[in-house]
Amino acid sequence: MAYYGQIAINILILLSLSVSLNLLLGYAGRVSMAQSILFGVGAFTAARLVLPKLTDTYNANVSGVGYGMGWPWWAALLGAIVVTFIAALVISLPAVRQVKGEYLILLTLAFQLGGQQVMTVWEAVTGGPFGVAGIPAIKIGSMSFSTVKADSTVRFAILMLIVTVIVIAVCWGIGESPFGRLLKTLREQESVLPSVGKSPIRPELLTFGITAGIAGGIGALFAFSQGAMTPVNFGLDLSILIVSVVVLGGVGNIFGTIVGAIILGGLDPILSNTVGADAIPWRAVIYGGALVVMMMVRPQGLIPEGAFRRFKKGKSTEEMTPAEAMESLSRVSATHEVGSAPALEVYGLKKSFGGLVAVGGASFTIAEGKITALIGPNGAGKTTIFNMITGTFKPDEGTVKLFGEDITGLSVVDIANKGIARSFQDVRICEQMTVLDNVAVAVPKQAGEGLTNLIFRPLKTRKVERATRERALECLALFGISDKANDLVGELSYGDQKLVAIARLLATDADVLLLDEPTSGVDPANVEGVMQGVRRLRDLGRTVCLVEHSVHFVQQLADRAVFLDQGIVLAEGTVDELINQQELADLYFGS
Amino acid sequence: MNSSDGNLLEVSDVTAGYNKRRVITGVSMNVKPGEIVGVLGHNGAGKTTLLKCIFRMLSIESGDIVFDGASIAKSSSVKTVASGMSFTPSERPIFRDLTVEQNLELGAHSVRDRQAIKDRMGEVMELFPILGERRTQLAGRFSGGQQRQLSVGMALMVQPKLMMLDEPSLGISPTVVTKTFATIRELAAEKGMSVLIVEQNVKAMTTIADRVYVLRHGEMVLEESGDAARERSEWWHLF
Repeated sequence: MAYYGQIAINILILLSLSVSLNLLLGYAGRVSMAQSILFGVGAFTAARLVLPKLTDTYNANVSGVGYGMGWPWWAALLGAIVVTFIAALVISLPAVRQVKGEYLILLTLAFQLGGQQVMTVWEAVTGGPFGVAGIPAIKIGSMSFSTVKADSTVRFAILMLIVTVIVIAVCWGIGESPFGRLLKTLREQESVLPSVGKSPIRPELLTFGITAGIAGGIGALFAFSQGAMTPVNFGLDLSILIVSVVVLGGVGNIFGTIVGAIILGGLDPILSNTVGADAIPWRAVIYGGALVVMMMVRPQGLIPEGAFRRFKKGKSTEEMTPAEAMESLSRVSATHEVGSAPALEVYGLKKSFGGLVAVGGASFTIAEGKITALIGPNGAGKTTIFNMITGTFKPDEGTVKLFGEDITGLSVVDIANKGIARSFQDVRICEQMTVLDNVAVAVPKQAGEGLTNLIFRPLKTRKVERATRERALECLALFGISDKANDLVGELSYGDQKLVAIARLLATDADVLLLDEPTSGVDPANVEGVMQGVRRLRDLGRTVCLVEHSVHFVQQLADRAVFLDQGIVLAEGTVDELINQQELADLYFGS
Repeated sequence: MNSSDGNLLEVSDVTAGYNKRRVITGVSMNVKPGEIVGVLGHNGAGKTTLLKCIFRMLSIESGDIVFDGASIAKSSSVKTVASGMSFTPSERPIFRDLTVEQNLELGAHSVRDRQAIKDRMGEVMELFPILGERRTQLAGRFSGGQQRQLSVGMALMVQPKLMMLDEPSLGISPTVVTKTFATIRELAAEKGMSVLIVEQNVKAMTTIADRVYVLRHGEMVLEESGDAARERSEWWHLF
């Protein structure tokens, strides 16, 4: 019984570590190879906190038995969680700033390997290669939970099962909340979050912290249950195994991770029972082989993200017509004093890249409630101007005013919150997320995006989330695509994807919407639908400014146009006025 | 062997794009032997994508492309070069860290005959004297116009039946544009070579083209003779 108890404990520990990593790897899309060392940081921290103080009666010189702070086990557990949380923040700071993708793997790998070295030499804390022993077990009343004795092993297995269920519930709750929606957006299209006025830094840091905090807590329980441990317990092989579990089970799906942990965790005892000692070399071959085969046959994992989406679909909401959506949305539309100042004023905007002048002093205004197009030959600086208005580039000179307020030089997030939202030439929608989630992420002021609200105000969070989803549905209904709300965006046609991106803009509540080539890449058959969508934004009272290369479409779409060449505004007026000027034609078509 | 209707290149009803992003839709066009054909259109209209499809750098969703009498819809760019096509992209079409000679040799990568390479290099340098003068210099130090001449020279090294140029006027001064285009005109007449040029510079293109097409938003909206295009006073509605 105790033997099976120990196997169960091993699998449950692997499972908890993997589920928490899935939050980071699956939801936020950040691969960490340092999960094992963080598990170790928690274990050694807890051990030092819980071990008795060095006193005359407690002789620390007994080989391998250490001394510590003499805290109760629950305080040591909390301490371990806090310390690993902070350690993870240190690791993740460079990751949040600029280290991405493969470099993050290398960075976390460096922390893992460096951490192992530190553990091996820092004898005062880890006991060096001999490790720490004599760690007291958890005691509740007269019951003790540890793997030292048979009956308490079974008890610890049950305790570990409860803990694992809690970890799964926490990770599931976070992953499937509005906060999790931020993480998924971060994973798929990082640049989208700031463009809808949400900083990606806080959720990313928090996720690194939570993932590590859970690993630290599990590490503490591991320390209490084993009584003794060495740095070898926290090697790179465990980190790799954890990542393998997540990848095998399916990233972004907690249930996949459960299956993965049971398979990979269970393989070990099965092999040693059937093959015996010879199993050790085979184990690596089987792990490696299984991963290679999985990557080829089923790269999305055994139970991929969204595997249960179909079952959730059942709840069908009443379809809303575009007209009804229009009415409903116009009520929540933010309003300004009409006619007080132009929606957007750009004055003397300059930007050079090295010696190349991209924008050389552009000045123009965008009238409220109209569709204005920026046109001009290739290299006229249209997209650069967009980037300066939205804060992606800081202008070298000049000012940008939004309804009379100077917003020059503010960050992308701040400018978005002031009321300017933009779309991108290359749509940047999140293909693995549903249409509804793509739009819902842009709705401002969501209670569920804060962890404290998620934990302490679940009812309020749920209420706000219902309103958020309703809002997103209205935005979709305006463009006639609310029937696709539960589909994955990746399954839609390109024209519909463009509409989802425009609906996302609308959901931000911003007054000024900048559209970068809204019709490019759209099938000719669907172009009219996209143009119709842009006109509806205007009909809602939004101010639209767009870059569009096809003059033919600009003629049909825009009320006004600004003609740029080499970063200077040459003319402003209606589209027809502009195309009747011979100089502009010469510039556009050569002379 | 040319196809029965005498076209060197025949693109019929081609649709292509990148993943879901549809860039050209149902495009048909052709190039006859010895003809200079221009494809005009706004930025993002699908001009470069069309060239990539013809050169077999991009797979096509539907339609067919026939070159020199054989379908190349499922071919590869390695084979299209061997069958007599060249393609000069618009951006950085040369190797900056190599000399003029090395660049030209690379242009002739698919040619086995050393003597032929030497002869052709001589021809190219005759055509563009500046390349002969600076034959041992690094191409990266050249002006935009000189780099453009070198890139055309590289394309000529395989003596293509069809030379495709993507925006040869990009980044070079108007006088150099006129000169380059005049040279292209001469070449086509002298060697009976067909040239397919993609351009945004309508005026430069119409001065040398036998025929022009206009792509708008991935669809062909115009085909007319070079003469008619030169007479045209209004282009806006086509862009």
